[in-house]
Amino acid sequence: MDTQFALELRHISKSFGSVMANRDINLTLKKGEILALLGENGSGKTTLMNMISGIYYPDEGQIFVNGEETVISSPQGAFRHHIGMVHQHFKLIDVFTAAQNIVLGPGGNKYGVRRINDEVKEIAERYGFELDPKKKVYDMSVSEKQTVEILKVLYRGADILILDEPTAVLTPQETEKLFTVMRAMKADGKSIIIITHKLHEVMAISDRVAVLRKGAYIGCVDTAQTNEQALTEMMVGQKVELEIERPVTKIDRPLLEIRDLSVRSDEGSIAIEGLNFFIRGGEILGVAGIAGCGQRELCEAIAGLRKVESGGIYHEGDSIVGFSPKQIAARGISMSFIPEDRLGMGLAPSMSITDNMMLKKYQDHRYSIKPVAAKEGEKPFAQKCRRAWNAVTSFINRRVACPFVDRKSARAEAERVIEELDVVTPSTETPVRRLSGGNVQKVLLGREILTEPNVLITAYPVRGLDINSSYLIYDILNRQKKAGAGVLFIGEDLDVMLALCDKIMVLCHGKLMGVVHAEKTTKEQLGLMMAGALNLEEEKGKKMGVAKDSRIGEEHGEDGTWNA
Amino acid sequence: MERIKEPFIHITKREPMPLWKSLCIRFGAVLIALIICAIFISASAPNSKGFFGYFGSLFSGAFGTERRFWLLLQQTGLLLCVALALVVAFRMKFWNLGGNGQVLMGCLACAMCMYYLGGKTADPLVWLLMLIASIAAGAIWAVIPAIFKAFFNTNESLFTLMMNYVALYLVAFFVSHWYPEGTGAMPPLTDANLPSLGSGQAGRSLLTVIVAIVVTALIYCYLRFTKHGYEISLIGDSKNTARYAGISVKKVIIRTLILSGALCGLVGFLLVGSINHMVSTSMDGNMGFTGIMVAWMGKFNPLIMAGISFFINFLSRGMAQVCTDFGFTSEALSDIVVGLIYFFFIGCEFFIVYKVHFNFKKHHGREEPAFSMSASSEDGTSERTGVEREETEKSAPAEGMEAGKSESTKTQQPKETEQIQQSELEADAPENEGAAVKAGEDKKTSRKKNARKAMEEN
Repeated sequence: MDTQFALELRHISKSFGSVMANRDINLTLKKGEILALLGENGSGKTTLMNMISGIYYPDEGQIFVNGEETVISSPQGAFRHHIGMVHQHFKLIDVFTAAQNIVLGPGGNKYGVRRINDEVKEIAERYGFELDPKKKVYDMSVSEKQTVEILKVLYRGADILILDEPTAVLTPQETEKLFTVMRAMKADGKSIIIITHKLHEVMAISDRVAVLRKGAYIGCVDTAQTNEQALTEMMVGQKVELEIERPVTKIDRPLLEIRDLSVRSDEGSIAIEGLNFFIRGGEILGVAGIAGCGQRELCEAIAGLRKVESGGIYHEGDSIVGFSPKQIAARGISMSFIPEDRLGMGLAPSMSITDNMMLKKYQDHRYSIKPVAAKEGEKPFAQKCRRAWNAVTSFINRRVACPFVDRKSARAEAERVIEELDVVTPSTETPVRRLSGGNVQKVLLGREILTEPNVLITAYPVRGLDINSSYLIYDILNRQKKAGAGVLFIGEDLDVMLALCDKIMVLCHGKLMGVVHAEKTTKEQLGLMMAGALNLEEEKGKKMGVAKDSRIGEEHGEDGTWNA
Repeated sequence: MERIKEPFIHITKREPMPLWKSLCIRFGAVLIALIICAIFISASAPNSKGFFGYFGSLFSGAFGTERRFWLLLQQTGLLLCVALALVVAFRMKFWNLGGNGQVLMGCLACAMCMYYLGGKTADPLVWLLMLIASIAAGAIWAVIPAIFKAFFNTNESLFTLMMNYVALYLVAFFVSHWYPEGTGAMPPLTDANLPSLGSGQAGRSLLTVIVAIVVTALIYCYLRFTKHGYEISLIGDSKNTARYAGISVKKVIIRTLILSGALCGLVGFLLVGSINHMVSTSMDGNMGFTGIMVAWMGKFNPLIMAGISFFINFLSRGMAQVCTDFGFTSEALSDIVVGLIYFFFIGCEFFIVYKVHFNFKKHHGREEPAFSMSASSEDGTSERTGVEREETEKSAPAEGMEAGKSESTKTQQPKETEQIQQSELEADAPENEGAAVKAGEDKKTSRKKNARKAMEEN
């Protein structure tokens, strides 16, 4: 059967329990085109692609490949139909070389090392990839690993490629390179589906855009005849203001200062090296960098969860190095950390919202037995009894450790957060893992904001959130900023950071590349810094990230006490 | 168009069902299992007392006399205490498989006190020492793996499991050390026995039952309302979150395992001091492992666990009686039947959480009049017929059992099945649009029948 469609989906549905992940989806992919699949988180993009690549099996509907109805019941089945998927999380074997990873799997012939190297090289050159086939995966950068993944799929003869958020881990320059390769593949007759959140990339690379919303297919438009605003409206279903506000505030003296900080990663390698920076009250400091270049370690070190190798962390001039989270809290330091892995670190997923609310202060609960009030016409003996009782209860209230948790006030707090931040949940007793990503983040942020921190550390606060929730989070951060808190914002979307942050600090492999004012910089400059090609500190020849009006000197004598 | 091979079985997760419904399913599963066992045993026993005689023996074995009833309560109490000890650790995702060893160490410590101090010191003092020694011994046996887990992240399952054997051979050593001659069994000690709280079996069992009730209530409150309980759940849920909240994970692991081991030691104290007055290597009665089952089947909730351990002891005691009455000489049969009931009971959990979809039509090429055209858009709907044929709890396992028996009736069925399926389809059609999932529930019984027939047919 001859047809112009490489892939056609008809009436595909898939549900997980009561959740309808995909509902009656019709989608076509023409031969030799790049189709962007757009949708918010939880709109069913990945589920749909997993059905095409044989990981899930649809409840209903049919899949046509090159006009023929097919049943794809396993990833091997998908390969037989020349469909290949590049997953968001790479599936590579670290100790193998690129070429070994690429030929792994399809079976058949003996692997001649030299021959496969040549074969891989040949494919790479055809599409303009830059890759050394003999390089081991553990030596590779993220973008190289992605290249290997794509080559693996091509090597197996895929004509239909599915790329699941390939640009999330790349710098702007690497993204551009990837797009060049994608255009080369398209010229070679391959059909590509690319999943992405970033609208400007959709506009740059795709021929057509298909939009999903809450599991349903909304429509498909030619990229040339649409714009970002229209796509957003399709995606969200209503008009959305795409402007991020950056309120001007009166900036304060530095609240948090980091001096020459070095931290090791879990594997023992240096993750953060000699880092200097500071956050003032009333500003948002963005941290840009490729994923995994020390952001997590930095946050954990500041929050007291990771051992500091050397250097200093000062909160309002007081060193907090070597303190556990408990000790930091016990010293009355109001600092909050919103970790990137919300369900793995910030919240307990199987526990209710109420229980999560009391996570940090369940220990503080004490007995609060009310004293018995005096009555009129009390007999002397009754009075004595009452006084004795009140003395005992006040002693218990003050001295005796209470073994019980206080769910009542936690529930009140949960209700307050649900109310103020519009958390969508059946009740305060719902386990947080049942909530959607946005609501999970609201619970976490809500809990931290209730403690009124003056330093707020947020790691990827909008990761996995839909557009509306993201803007709500930006709004919450701006409110904190206006209230005089210093916010550390570790982000991944440069456009957002340029609009939201006051200053942006760029990290590359744990080293500071420079701190720039968001208004005065460009995405290209940030991209170069992220890749390590531009080091402002070296260029300008001065040490960055040390405040002139540092508060460290105040209580710690001369500058230099921080030198460990 | 050529038919394409589709997977025959397709399993999906079901939406959470209301409590009463899942309870009905569980009770139903047990009931059906009991009935099947009744048929099986009454038909094959050398000395059969008939179908109803089976139930008679089952209940008389468990509740028949006052003594049996109190023994049942006593065994329930012991098993429950061990299960509660384990659950404290399990809540933290610390898989303590060393219940047996911890109980045995409690027994040994208690027996040591009785052996060396009994008759030489005032009884109340010995009792106190017995209690302290048992609890300490159990706690030590549990805290050793905990320390290694906390500081060196060793595998706690393996470690606690191995500790069982050490305890076992320690007991064997002391028994043969105390009584080098004879069969190697220890005679009951006469000194420093805990007093009986009444007459007969009731008096002997009462202490255990009271302790079990108190422990259940305390552990329930401990896990649910205290800061310690909160920390345990938190660590079980996410260690990183616990660290983030400022909890010292090491400390909590060690503290919790001390509690877990102490409870096991307490069971050892009851076993030796109050019940047996001697120690043997099989004294633990394998409760350390049965307790794991109680904990899981009770969903880590002490109150449900109380019911489960009662049920398990009811079964094992009742079945032992059935075997005696029906003339089976081997104990193994009772184990087999109890195992069968467990199988149903645990198996029904799968069907509470998941839904199995069968894809009859395409796979077997059977023509169904309504869909003989097999237009593409209708394919999905026709698959639904298989979808809604939800294999509830009982039908699947029961199926396998009965397949053989109903062989003779098979041949008449195909026609009937087709008709039923068709009518079923019509009934389903309006519901498909909205709450497709609900459709199955109403016609559960009729559908179950259909599913069975259809399966047999194929």
